[in-house]
Amino acid sequence: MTAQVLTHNSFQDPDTDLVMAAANGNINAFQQLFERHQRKIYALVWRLAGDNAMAEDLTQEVFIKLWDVIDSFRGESKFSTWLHTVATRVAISELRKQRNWQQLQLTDASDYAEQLSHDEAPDLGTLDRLMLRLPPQTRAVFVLHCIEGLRHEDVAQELNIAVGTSKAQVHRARTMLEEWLSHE
Amino acid sequence: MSKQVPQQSLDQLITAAREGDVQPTPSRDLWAGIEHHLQRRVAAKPQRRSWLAFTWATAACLVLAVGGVTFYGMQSPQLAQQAPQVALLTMLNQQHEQQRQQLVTHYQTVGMQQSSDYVDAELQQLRTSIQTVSAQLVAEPDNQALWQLLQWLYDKELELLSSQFTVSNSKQLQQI
Repeated sequence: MTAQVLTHNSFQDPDTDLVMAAANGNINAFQQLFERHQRKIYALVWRLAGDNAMAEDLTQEVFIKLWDVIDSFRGESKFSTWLHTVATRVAISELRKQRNWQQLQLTDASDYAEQLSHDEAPDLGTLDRLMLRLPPQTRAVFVLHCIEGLRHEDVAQELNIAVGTSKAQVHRARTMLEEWLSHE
Repeated sequence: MSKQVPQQSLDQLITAAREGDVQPTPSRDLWAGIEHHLQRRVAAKPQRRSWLAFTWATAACLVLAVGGVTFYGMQSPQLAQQAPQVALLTMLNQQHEQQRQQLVTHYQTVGMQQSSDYVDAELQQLRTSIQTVSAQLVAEPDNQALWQLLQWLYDKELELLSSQFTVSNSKQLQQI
């Protein structure tokens, strides 16, 4: 069943052969998938977590989880899209356990940026450097909607928030980032 | 600075981030840790598969045996000749039950306890198989394949029972 669906979409998705091999237990194929996608997955989870060490741990967690569920991939979307969904869920699930996330979800502290010490890595791009200053939930909504391209409905579902909250958070993030950019 | 400029700048930065032109990268090799986890999982799989294969093999033997019994039974339903073989079956089952009890009693007497739920489940499955085959032998006592299967099931049950106590024994020795 899986093989048939994957074959149907194989002309669209360059990962199909590797996914099928990995689903059959081939670690070398899985490693090639890792090499192909690790940079984007790391960037996604880094932007959600805002921390190097946590992003590295989360990236490993994502690929270990992927090994467990890869045989459930049905080829109904591109593998990379599906992988990003898996990564988002693993990352959000872990971030929910963080104290900062819980506190800020309740208080939505507007002066969060002022509380941070900005020992930012010099090799970060401007946007990533500024995004670190956003409150975690605001940053998560901004990353998922503006960078990952999820619809507000999907962002709301992934983060367990209202659609209106997602829209408001994006507006807020953009306002804050534009303000900071104007002082760059 | 006009409001338009930071808006445009932000849109350009977002586009660059979407396209992966500028993105954070890990400072260390992440594959080694992942591979370590995966190899442990892969190493654990064959053991599960061997038990699965064992279960399927038992089930397949049962299906074949039942099919053979049914076919042979239709060919020669000589009920009068069954009595001695049914008595033999009863005796074999009793002997096996005694052997099983003696084995359990022996290990428990020297202080060893069964500890594995997984092996218990396997033992229960074997007991069920023995009962099924025995019932089929009552219906068709001349089926040689069924007698062989029954003997094989007896041996497997005793072997599995012993292995469970052996594992417990080694754990106890390690504790000592």
